[in-house]
Amino acid sequence: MNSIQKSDPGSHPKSTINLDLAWFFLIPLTIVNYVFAEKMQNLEILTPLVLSVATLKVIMIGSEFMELRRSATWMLWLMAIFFIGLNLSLILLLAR
Amino acid sequence: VNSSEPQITLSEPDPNLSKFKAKIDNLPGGPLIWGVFWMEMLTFAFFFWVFAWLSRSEQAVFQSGQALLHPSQATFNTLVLLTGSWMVARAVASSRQNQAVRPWLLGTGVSGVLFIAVKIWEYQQVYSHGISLSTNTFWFFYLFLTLLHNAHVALGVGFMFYLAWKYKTTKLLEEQIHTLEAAAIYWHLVDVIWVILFPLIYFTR
Repeated sequence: MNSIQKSDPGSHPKSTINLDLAWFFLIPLTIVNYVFAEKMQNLEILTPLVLSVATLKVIMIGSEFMELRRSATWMLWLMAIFFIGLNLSLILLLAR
Repeated sequence: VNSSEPQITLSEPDPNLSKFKAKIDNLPGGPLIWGVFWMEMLTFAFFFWVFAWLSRSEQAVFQSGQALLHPSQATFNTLVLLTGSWMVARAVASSRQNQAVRPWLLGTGVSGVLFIAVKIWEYQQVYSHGISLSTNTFWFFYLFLTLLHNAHVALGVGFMFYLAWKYKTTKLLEEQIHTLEAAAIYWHLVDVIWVILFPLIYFTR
């Protein structure tokens, strides 16, 4: 039953607009992040900023590219919790 | 029927267990690729923590190493991998709509080849400074982590070209779509690892 649902075109949106929007958002986000990282003099803010942007990107990839928001929300939550935890632990380690 | 023989009664399956199994089975790509995903993620996360810990213990070594890297090329590579991730997601979407997946898979494979090519250029720059795995802690972790990641990209490229060669028709079978979903999750894994590795190596100081 589940395997039939998984690949049933009816259970997935026919439009790929969410995929395209996610891509259009991730590309400028990466460029802006690079420009900020290169120009920023305040190193205490730099690390939390770049790692938080990375976490946001991972959650967007999970939500839109991996389709977890539509097919397995619990896995998207697990990913979000794991990557936010990883991000925080790295920020704390780098702030020592 | 001999009434004295012991009766075997099958107990009802645990509803909670069945519910959990249904949740696992319903994951895109199936449970196996998700096992791989979390094993790889935890392994890389361990190395990220070690990298972050050592970067504070040997701050001068790490900062002098970072000064020799090329963040603009790494940013370009991030854009390339994100585009590859978008293309493989489009391939999965196309397969469900009975549209051609081949151009999207070839595009994803090419993005991986481009990523590796840029990385090889960066390795050449690094080696021109006489740097190797044994130079210091920063260069050991830089080379180890990026080479390990590149090996994953190369494997992903192989998957993409193989599937592009195999899936010539627009109407894919249920099993083929399942395999494509698993390959896409693997590619997203490679992308996600790089998304964290990139700022950690190039920008955190």
